[in-house]
Amino acid sequence: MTPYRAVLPDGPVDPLLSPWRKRFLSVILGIVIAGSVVTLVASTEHWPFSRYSMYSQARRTYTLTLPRLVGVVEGTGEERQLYEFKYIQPFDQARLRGALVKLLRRTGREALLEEAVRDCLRRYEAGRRARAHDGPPLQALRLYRLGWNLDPWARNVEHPEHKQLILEVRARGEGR
Amino acid sequence: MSWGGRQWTQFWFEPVTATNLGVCRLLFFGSLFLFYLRRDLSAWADVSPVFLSPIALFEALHLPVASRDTLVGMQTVWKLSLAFSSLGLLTRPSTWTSFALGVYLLGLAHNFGKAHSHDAILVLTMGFMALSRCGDSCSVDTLLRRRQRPSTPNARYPVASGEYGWPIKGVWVVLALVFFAAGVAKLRASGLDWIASDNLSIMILQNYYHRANADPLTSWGLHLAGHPWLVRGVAAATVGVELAFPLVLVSRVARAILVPGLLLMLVGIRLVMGPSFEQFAFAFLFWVPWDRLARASRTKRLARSPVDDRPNAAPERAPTLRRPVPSAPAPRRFRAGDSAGGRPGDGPGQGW
Repeated sequence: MTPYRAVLPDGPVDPLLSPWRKRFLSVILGIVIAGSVVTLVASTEHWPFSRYSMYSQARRTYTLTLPRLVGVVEGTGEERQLYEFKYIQPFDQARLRGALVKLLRRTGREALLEEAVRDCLRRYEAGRRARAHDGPPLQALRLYRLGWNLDPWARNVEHPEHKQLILEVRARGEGR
Repeated sequence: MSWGGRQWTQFWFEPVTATNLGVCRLLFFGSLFLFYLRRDLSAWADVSPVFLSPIALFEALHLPVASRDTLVGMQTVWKLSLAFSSLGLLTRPSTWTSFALGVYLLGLAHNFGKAHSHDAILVLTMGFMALSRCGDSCSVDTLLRRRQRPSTPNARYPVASGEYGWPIKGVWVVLALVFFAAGVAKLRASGLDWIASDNLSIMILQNYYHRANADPLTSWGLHLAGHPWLVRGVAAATVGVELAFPLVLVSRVARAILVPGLLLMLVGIRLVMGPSFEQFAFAFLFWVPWDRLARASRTKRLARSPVDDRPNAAPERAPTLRRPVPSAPAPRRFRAGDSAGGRPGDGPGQGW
């Protein structure tokens, strides 16, 4: 490739960087910087530009409340919180929680939440049948709002002080 | 050219050799390939549309959620292009393919529920690499070019050029803005309460209740949270490092302190809080002066070898092209270390 010659005011020549190439790159870099600065100043999110506000809201009480999927084991009726990636993939627990919170705020949320929870149950069962995880078969999947008083050693993770059932979806016979 | 224009040119387009960029390409794309090799991004095709909440980019480009088969094909091509980009084989099409498919495949998950921001740096870095001449060094393409045209100067010696510095500076600037934004967001949302209250202790404890996108790797956070004043010190250091991070763009001392400090912070977050920010660590590869490390290693090897075995003095800097100017005296050629301002620069690969 024939190298370009970029003559700078002081005389040196960059054999690969023409003035047009330099201007083009400057525009691209300017756009990237402007995108980052604008999202920072305006406090908005436009992926891949972000204000990086995770963990910016200060916590003030030693409590935690969040929606969580809880599976009801077939036969025993035992309840198990489903937060591990292998059970809820491709979601992770933060993304799923964010999705459920969004649905909880929408009008007509009952129908939307039922579809969402049924979809999670369907994918759980598909993963179990494909041996993608070792979870037990479920007879139902429940969406709870769980609340904890934080224990210094997190000993009460599986025993929240507050449990509010939002929705239950039973497994269909043909899905087992 | 105005003063601002000269400063801009000096910062972004200071001539450096291609080695640093080539090594960064090899390691960055290699890390991405290994990280995503066993991850299945096609599973999003099976998620119910009830979860769909498109991000602005996908809405603007009218990008749909592809079918499972299409996603499987796309991610296979993407992972291959990451490997090719790392090796520097068909570098230009490989890096462009990595970028284009990466925007879609990495962006897809953000359309379902919550937009995480930990992989945005990867997309921007891939974009820089696609636009750059990152295949001019440490690449299969260069080896093949040398074999085909061994007598051509360009085939054997990549010249020092501003083309080889701006992508690395681009990653530096983006990272500086990322962490500065994180610090600003904390103070904007919570003020000094973020530091002076029990906030960080509570955050650490909450993440042991499976709140973050990944659980803490250790139980150290539970011990740490029991010492509020220590945690407040950590909180102050966190915000301080984030707000001071842009100094790394202009100060070698700041780079030496803040870059390792922030990397340690990311490791610490993973260990005691959980959120997986490994993707940021891949971008930190661009801070390492690989060419200086290679030179130092070569110098040590030469110093250890017997005097009779040492080669004649090897050139410290890459030789430049010689192109006579027909109607004017031959202009001074760029050498590594020159800058538009006429003094040795402080760019990537030079005096880091």
